[in-house]
Amino acid sequence: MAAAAATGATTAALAVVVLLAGCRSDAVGDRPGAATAPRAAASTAAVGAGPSELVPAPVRPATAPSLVAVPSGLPQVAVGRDRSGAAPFVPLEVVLPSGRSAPVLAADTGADGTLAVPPDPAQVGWWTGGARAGDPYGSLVLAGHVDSRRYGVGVLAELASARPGGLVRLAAGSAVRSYRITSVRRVPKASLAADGDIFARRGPARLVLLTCGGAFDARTHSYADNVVVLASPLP
Amino acid sequence: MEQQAPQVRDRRPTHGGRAAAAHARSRPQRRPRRSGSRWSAPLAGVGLPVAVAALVAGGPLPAQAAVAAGAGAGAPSAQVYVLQGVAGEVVQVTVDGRTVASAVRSRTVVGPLTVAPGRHSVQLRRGTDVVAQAGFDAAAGASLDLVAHRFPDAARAAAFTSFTNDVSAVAPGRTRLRVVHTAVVPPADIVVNGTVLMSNLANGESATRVVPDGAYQVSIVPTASTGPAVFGPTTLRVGAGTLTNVFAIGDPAAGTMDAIVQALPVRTGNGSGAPSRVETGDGGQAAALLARTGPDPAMVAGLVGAVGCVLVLLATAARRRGVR
Repeated sequence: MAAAAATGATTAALAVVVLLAGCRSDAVGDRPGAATAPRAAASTAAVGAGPSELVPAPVRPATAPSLVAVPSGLPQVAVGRDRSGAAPFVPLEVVLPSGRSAPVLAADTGADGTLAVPPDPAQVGWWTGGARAGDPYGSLVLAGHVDSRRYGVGVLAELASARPGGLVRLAAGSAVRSYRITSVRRVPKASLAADGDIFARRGPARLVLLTCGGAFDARTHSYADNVVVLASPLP
Repeated sequence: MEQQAPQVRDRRPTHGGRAAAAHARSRPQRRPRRSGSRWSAPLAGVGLPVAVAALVAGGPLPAQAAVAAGAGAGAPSAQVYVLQGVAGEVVQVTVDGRTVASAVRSRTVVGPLTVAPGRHSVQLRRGTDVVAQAGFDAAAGASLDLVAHRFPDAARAAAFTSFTNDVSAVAPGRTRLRVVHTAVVPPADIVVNGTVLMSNLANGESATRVVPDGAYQVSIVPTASTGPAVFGPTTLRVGAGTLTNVFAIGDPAAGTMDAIVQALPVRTGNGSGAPSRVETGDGGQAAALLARTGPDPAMVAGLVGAVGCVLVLLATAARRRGVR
């Protein structure tokens, strides 16, 4: 009986989906009534055929219950080939322009909004809300301590003297991607979040390396700025 | 599309992605328990129906047992969608010889069908004519798209191609976008927001990218050319937490180019929000090191720039004060 109720709910939900799709004034498809309507013609050579906006396909509920395997003797279906190419990866190692490398660990944003980078400045954190190496859009953010009272100078201290054109490599096992540095700048810490590009989910794929820099306040044990290095993926 | 996702989720309660796959993997361990202690307790109290279920579960028909026993506990069955990508045909869809949908126009998704793991068959029929047919294997816990479509070779009859849906978790605010070439065009590039996102896809091939949710301008352009596009540009909106499949179908020569857009819900994986602060230095040793080696030219340039900006601002402020 639960199954019957679920089927009813399913049908209702589907009807809503189909209705929503049908409400779109720009929806073009093979719905009843639309099948013979002429499609908006392409007016210039550069514009191909098709609707101006793609809407979800109409969904038809299947009327059969669970189907048990039955041999049919029909030839097997062709299996679609995947051409996605190299899979995006979460970096496990970063190689800096100097050739020095550092392990990369996942870093989450804490409840107070501070990125929880590894305490050891020989390690670098990968912001878990950001892109992976090989994702087509958005910022892949790595951050690490420039120094630490406990451990001393960090591996990212060299970012202060990084220059555009320098190469940074990210790796995870045999997966590797290289990036070329496009800019090096300092941003006052308080305005880091307001800087649109740094934690961007959209826009072009980029690598963002973050550490601290600028004036060091010995009383508060804190730097005034963040050093922000942007790099673009190489093909 | 954003509104559709929750409804789709309601519609497909057993579509559990990795959870379902894990479930499937645990099946061999679970079966002996089912015929043992797990079933023997209710057997005594509840009686015949449970006894029958226990017999079926322990019997020689594991596929049927999986469906029967799984009805309430999350079956290790497969979810199958049949996509009608043959323009101009209005067909009847049959699976394992049973009609599951009639009068199905092109661009329609039929499903999901819950099928037991194993070998099945699918047919598109126009009356008694077979438009396309194939056997297919459904893996336990899998989500499978069977798309009927034509080929660049106009003489070739329509046929099915299968694509397994990757319904594993996707990071927050993102969608897994798969574009599938099932159209009557030669190999093509998928151009998104002006750049090639997927290149050289031939009929029967697909490519997947994880992208942020939102609207994209998509066109299909013959590979290694700058146009004309065979499809689009057209706007595609993708919602977070979905696998969005876009099947290019039809024939530009016949004016039937179109796309089947299918959004399946997937779980949202880990991934934290944007930080407001990045505190990455409390020792001061790096600053001391820099001081010893002298300021670097970039910093000097930055400083000069900053001082210049301040001077300009001060001058502007002074002028404004003077005007008032």
